[in-house]
Amino acid sequence: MSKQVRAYASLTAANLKMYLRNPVASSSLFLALIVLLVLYKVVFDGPGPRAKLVIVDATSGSAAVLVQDLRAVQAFDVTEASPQVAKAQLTEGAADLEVVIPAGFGQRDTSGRPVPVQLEVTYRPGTAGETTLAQLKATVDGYDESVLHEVPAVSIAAAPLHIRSAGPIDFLLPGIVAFNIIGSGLMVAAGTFSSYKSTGVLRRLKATGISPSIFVLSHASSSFVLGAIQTAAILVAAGLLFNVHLDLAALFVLRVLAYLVFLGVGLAISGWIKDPQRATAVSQSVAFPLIFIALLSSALPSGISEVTRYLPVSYVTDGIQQIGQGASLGGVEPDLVALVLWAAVALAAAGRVFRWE
Amino acid sequence: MPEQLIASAPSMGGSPAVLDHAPLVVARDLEKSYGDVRAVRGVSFDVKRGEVFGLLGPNGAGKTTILEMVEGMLRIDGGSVMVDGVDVSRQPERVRSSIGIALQKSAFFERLALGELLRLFADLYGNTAMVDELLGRVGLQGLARRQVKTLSGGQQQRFAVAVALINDPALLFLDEPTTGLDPQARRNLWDLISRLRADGRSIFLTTHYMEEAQHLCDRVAILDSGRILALDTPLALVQKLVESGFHKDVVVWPADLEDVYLDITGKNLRES
Repeated sequence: MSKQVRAYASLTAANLKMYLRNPVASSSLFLALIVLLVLYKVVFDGPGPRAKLVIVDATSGSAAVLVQDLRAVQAFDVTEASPQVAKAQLTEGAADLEVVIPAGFGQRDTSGRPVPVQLEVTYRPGTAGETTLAQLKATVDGYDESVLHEVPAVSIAAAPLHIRSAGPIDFLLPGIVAFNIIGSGLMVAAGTFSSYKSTGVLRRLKATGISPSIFVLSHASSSFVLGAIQTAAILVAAGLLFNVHLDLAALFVLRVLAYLVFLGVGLAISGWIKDPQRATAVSQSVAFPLIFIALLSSALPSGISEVTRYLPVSYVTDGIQQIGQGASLGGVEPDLVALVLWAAVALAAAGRVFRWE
Repeated sequence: MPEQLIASAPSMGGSPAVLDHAPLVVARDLEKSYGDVRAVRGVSFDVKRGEVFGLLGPNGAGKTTILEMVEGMLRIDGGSVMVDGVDVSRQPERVRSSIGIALQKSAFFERLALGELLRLFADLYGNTAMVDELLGRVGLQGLARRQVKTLSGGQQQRFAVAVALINDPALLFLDEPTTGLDPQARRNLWDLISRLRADGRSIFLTTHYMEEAQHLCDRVAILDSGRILALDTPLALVQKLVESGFHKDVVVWPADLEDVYLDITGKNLRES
């Protein structure tokens, strides 16, 4: 083994050892991202909020089937009350939604046809009573069809499209992976290198005569390994929680390139700014807007996205979105090419400003 | 009236173990500026094989700047330095990888034990680390599993010397090696430096302490404002001063306060 390879291998192993011995510092961000995924699952994929529905039934039993249908809806927490009590509950917030079933409900005319009636519905704005109105309407429509056999002349039948990964997670997951890459590349590199520089660790390494590229390469390799493990864990968590399947080869290449870009930016910051506190502050100032763009890439106004689409983080999120929707390596080629160019620029800048001390 | 005495007993460095005639370091007309400040002004000197060479001078005299230019740690603005025939300006990495350096403030990776650090640095030099032997040579035997931050100041300095010895260098640079150490730790490091010199190594050190220079150095250069004002053996410099008519009133005491201190507290190192 040549001296250079031995130095590289030994430094890489030493870095990994130090990461493992400082688990809080090296994995808190990644664990926070896993928690974010779990929270997202709980908040957006759960049963949702329930509306407190109070029914005023003025009939003498003819609305029993409708009341039963409403009780069967998971979104409603149903009680029955007199008109006065129901009004009071609604006013005081003890109920979100009031449904008054009039006395003529269920009656038929001389020809046997149902007499049209209108349910009087009152809801508290901004509560689950408002958000569940559609479900109330759907339940009543269902009652019409099943009990009264009143089928509208024109109707729609909606069904979800089954694709490999659908839903808001498609937009969240790329952001989370990009967050992890920016964290392990940009922020860790800037913080670690600045700290090594200010404490004199880099100076001591310089005294051995090793080349700066060996040191930087070993640091890049070790933090890439760590970051790749973390990204894999995030994807496994996403797979378990949201049934996401991705082309791993494409994702690996995308991650390597993205990591190199943000490592270059982090190194450039640490080379440019000697003071570790200032370097950390500057790296955060650069990282957080990028993370914001990554997480909200699909919601940005067109004027802003016209500018941000050329940032490396946009190629990362776009690439991961494409991979999430089934694209393989060839499908994300434009993103990969853009990231290669960005990596070249960032690492060249880092090389120019790198200083041992 | 106090008795007059010319500097009496301390060792003047003793006779060198091996003194080859070809110098190991040849520095000529060294120049270094920081902005408008000329930190080093046309400094020339040699370091012979097997000798302990000391740079003395007040703060800001240029000691560390000269040392680091010779080590290849600092760019040379003017003049030249050859270390064992290698031009430092042209091949600073080659020079650094062949010498041993203990910086004024050596810092190492946290969370790595002494043994792991020695093996890492051995790999950086392309050598094999004899961890126990190296730690034993600097009096840190049995501490291979400890981390640097848990060591005392004196132990940290000795560990820095152990790291500097990994590549078995013929020339060792020690920048103010005993600054901040207590008398026991200082004496202990002196003993270590004397043993390294006895092995035949050349040692280039800087110090603020004249007693240290007198005890350890074969030759010293006295610097001020970036210039060498005197360069010779400690004994020759003292003789020259005396011959110039210098005298001072000296009370000959059979011991000094440091002797009292060491007598009371003992010479053993206070390190756990």
